[in-house]
Amino acid sequence: MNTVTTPPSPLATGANRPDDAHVAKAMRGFLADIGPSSALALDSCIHCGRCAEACQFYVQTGDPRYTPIHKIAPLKQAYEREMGPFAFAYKLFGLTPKISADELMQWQELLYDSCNMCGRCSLICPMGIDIADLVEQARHGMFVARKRNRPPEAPSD
Amino acid sequence: MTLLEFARGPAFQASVLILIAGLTWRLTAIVLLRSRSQFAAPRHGLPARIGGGAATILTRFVPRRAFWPRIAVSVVLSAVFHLGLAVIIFGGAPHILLIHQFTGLSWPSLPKGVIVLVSGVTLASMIALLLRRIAHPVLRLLSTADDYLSWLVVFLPVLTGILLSGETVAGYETLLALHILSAELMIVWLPFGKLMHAGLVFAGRGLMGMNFSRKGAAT
Repeated sequence: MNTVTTPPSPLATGANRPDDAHVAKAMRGFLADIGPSSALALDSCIHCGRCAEACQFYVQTGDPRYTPIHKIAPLKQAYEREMGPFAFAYKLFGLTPKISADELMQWQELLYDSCNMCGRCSLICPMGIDIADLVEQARHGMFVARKRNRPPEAPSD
Repeated sequence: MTLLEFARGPAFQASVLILIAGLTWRLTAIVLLRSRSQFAAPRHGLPARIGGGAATILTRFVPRRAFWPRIAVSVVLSAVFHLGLAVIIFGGAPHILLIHQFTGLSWPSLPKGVIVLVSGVTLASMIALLLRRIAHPVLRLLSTADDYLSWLVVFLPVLTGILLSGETVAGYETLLALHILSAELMIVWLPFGKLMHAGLVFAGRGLMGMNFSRKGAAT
């Protein structure tokens, strides 16, 4: 009889670090890339959902999770909680919860496997948000989360 | 002090003060962030980039033809709502009078009947947009409390404006006070929520157009 075992967290196996450390690194990675242009983009989304109608992944599946602006939710969450104009209020009133390792895990699929960076979402956005650019920034944050510290640690697998 | 005096006096002053402070805080926080370095050589110089930015501000008012079949409902409802608001604000005689008091500018107003009709259409479009937000899976996923609160603070001035034109629900003074207070509530919320897109839309489109022009891409 086959036994099903829960695979270890890829975030944890990536560099022998506890998940909290990965999340902290991801946060730093997200925030390091946010300048006025990205902040403006993250601040001006009106949640109209038109970007979904331009995304091949959504058009083909009808799954709302593939809405392009939803794919960068961790980046927006990090910005609102740590860097945005009203970050203090978001933290004080718990309006935006801290990102968890589980959430980052879930978003790996949305950021890497569910976007081919075609840029159609950027072309349809009435607010002029370059969503493809934000996806690239969010990917970078995720990459930083798994990046090994120096000196390099011994590979775990 | 009557409710109307309160609305025209301290409430108005406080709302404008909050608006200015909120706008300053929000915009300063964005502008002061450190820009990302761009290492790729620009394809076009600054004049072309500024042209690209200006063009994008205009072209994004109408979606590309290829996208229309999937977003026609969203585009039409949004257009009716926004144009309706513009007609009410810039075509209604009391609003023009208010603008004249502050700026000295004035222009002919539209007949009251037209404004009431446009207000009704605007109200209907807002209800349709709300229902769509509740019913559409994508919009439901994306929506936050800000979306519903922003909808409410715009809906109330339109609603009280229609009631004011009829003067049937309450007396003129009470309805006028409620209309002014609801508009002040909208002004207070503007810098803190998605209503801020009224200004950010131009900055966002302009910046995107400039960035795309820098890369030599169509905007």
